[in-house]
Amino acid sequence: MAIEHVLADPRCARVRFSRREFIRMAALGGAAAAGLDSMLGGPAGAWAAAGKRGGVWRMAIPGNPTAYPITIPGKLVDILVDKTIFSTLVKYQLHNGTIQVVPDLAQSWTANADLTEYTFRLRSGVKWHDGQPLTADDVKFTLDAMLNPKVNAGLAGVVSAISQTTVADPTTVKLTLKYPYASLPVMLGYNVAIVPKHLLEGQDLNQPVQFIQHPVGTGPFKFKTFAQDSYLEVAANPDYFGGAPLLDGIVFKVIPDGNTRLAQLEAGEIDFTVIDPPQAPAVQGARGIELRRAPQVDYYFFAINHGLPKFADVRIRQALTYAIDKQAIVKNILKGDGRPATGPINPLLGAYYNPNVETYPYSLEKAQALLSEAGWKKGADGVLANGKGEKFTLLFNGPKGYPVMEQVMTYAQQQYQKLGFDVTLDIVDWPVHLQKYHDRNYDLLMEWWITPPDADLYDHYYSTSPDNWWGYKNAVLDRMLVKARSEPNPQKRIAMYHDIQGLIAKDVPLVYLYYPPELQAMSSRTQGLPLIGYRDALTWVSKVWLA
Amino acid sequence: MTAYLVRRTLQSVVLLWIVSVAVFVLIHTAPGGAAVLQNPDLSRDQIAQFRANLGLDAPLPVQYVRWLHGVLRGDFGRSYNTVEPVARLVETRLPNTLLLTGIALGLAVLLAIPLGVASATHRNTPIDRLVAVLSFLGISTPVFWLGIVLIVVCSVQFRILPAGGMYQIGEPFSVGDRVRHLLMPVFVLMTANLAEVTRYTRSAMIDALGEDYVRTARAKGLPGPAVLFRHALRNALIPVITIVGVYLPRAVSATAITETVFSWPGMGQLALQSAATRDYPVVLGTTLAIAVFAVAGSLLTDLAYGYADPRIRLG
Repeated sequence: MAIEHVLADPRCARVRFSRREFIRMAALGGAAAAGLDSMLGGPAGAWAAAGKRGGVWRMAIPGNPTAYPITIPGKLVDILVDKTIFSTLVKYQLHNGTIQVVPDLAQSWTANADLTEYTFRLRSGVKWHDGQPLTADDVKFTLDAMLNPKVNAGLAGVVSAISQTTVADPTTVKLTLKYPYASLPVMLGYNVAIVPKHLLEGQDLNQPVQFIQHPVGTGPFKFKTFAQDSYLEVAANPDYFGGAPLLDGIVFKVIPDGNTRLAQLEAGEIDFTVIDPPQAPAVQGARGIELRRAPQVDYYFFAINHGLPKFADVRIRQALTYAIDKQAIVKNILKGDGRPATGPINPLLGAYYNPNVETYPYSLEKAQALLSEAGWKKGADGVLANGKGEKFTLLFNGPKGYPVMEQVMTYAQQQYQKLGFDVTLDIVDWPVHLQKYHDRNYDLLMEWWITPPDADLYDHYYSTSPDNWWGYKNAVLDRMLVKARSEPNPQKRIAMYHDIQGLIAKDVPLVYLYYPPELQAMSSRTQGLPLIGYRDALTWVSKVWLA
Repeated sequence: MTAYLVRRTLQSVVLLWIVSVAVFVLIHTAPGGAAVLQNPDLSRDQIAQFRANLGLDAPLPVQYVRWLHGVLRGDFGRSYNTVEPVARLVETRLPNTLLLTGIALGLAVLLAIPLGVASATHRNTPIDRLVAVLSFLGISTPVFWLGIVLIVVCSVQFRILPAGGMYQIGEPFSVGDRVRHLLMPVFVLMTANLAEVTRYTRSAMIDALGEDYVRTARAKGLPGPAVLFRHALRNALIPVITIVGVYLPRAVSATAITETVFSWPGMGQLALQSAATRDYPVVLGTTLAIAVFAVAGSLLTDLAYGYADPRIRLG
């Protein structure tokens, strides 16, 4: 079926008349209906490859995509498009409320006893969109490119544990690591898309002009057209190793304004967009649209600048946490969409998540008492001062353009002012916000992390890690982090991460706030999209179909 | 005349060069660096490495000379955000914006002149007051509000017009389809222009109608329309030409909000997004394009004066 026909009528009523008629008649017949039922509601639930073939699914993206996974920009929109065109070695599946790692291009993998060497067996028979076979050489080419310092590989950090990639045979890749690392398989699923060596060898990998204009991958959809700043279209890949997609194609429409995205969804011109919490009420009652709350591996927090001696005393950091009523934030600002955070590990990580840690239930009195013990008392002007007469000022940074974050920060400012802190809000443009974050030009700063579904916290929390943005130093935690990431036995590792969460909760490197779901607004005709953040949901887009 | 044109062109080149230096210094000294480098997933070492790879660690004058060297060879560099060549980005977006603003401005002028003339000749009558109120509304209505309201009413509520974009995806080219997509953004852009040009035409006409030569023409016995159009309007058009001349550079940049609301792939959006994310090569490219239009606009306006007003001698 030509994509053109389908797109002519967004409601697609006329085009699939014949199929609908057939199904209606079959339903009347009864027997076919039973067949349809078991197809759709089978034991595998949402993961069953049920549903009709055909149709084009339209998704809104906020900017221009560059379908090339190796280098920066590596914007969110690039990642989304890449999920449909390229494949990774492993991917993530939501199962009973936790995320698990499942094979994608790699069929299976093993590690040596001390986790310094991994062997991945690739699926056989996988073909690139141009018909060439995928081999281990492509995997080696991709990983080498990412680790090459001359290549501006945005996700190099994700695979930085790898010191060498060797091709054992056309379907076997051996990865030698710099240090024992239990999380390697999970990290290889975090947007490490494999690219074709035969099309990129010899090119300038920072600007492979030809390839960007016509990307070739192994994913469920092939690149079709890109109209600058209007849309990018991909068409189904019937030879996809995971089974031919049910959709005929996907159109990523470039719609920069959030209100316009919602308007287009309501007008039936697109099928899917992510929305901001303030837009949720508009979607709630709308006909033909479903509001989904998709969990994702994330946490929101106030960063504390550990380079400043005034935060050295843990009692101050504990006071900062006691003063925030996380339940109230979730109820009143997030309107119930979210859970109070207990630490940096998200409940989606299943057994790794430890809910039994110190949680600092809201109490301004306890906060004030702790500050007092630490030597900070309210002066005559109501501002906290220490024995030397120095006042406790808080320069509180946040990014502009995020209404929910601004509300949380305003609330926090009020709370901290009640305790006697002299708080100045510094809400700035996104690039300036990031600059100040890098340069540690803040006292407190509100931010979030969306991370791979893995418990390893080394990158952000190890004292000398280049990704430790807050300057947090804790030698005991350092040792625990190294031990945990090198532990081959999963049960022992889970116990270690539980201890790590306990220690972090006691030492308060950050003020942990909440785990929000991603709010998705989707047309009711869309079926089969897993209820998880869209970065991960799109890896299963071959199972999506249109009712 | 030729000497005049040559002189103006040389002056323009110098002006463009000055603009490029000023913009270069301004954007590099503005706080916040290239957003593409400030992805929190990048480590400090990576950021330093990529900065070096992109040439951003060299001193400013060196960076400027490298850029200028490229420009003189026709290479405006590549966008940090999309790896597209800047020249191609501007090339594809410019016609989209010109289409929008050209039609909006053209319609605005076509409608404004009769409205302005009608207001001037029927001063202080209900017609005049109605036009005045509509002008006031046109100038004061915020573009983003009007745009979204139109989308909600026409696209969501009544489904008679598409909610943004330049054309229906997947369909072959059709004038009808393009026109349907142009209707709302053109209307939105036109309202402010129309209001302003109407007011200017009105006051210019009122001034012209008060001049001595008009009284003479009437005294001579010329019929009303002849007085109006052959004598008064021609002179009243001079301030209007000034205004339209000022609109020319705005024609390629002041559309940022309309383009964002209607997902119109144009220069305004490009300029806005590249500035917000400090995409230096693109910011320089768009600013230069706008500067070229400003310079060309001013030249065209002066030439138009020379044509419209015989008292003005160019050169």
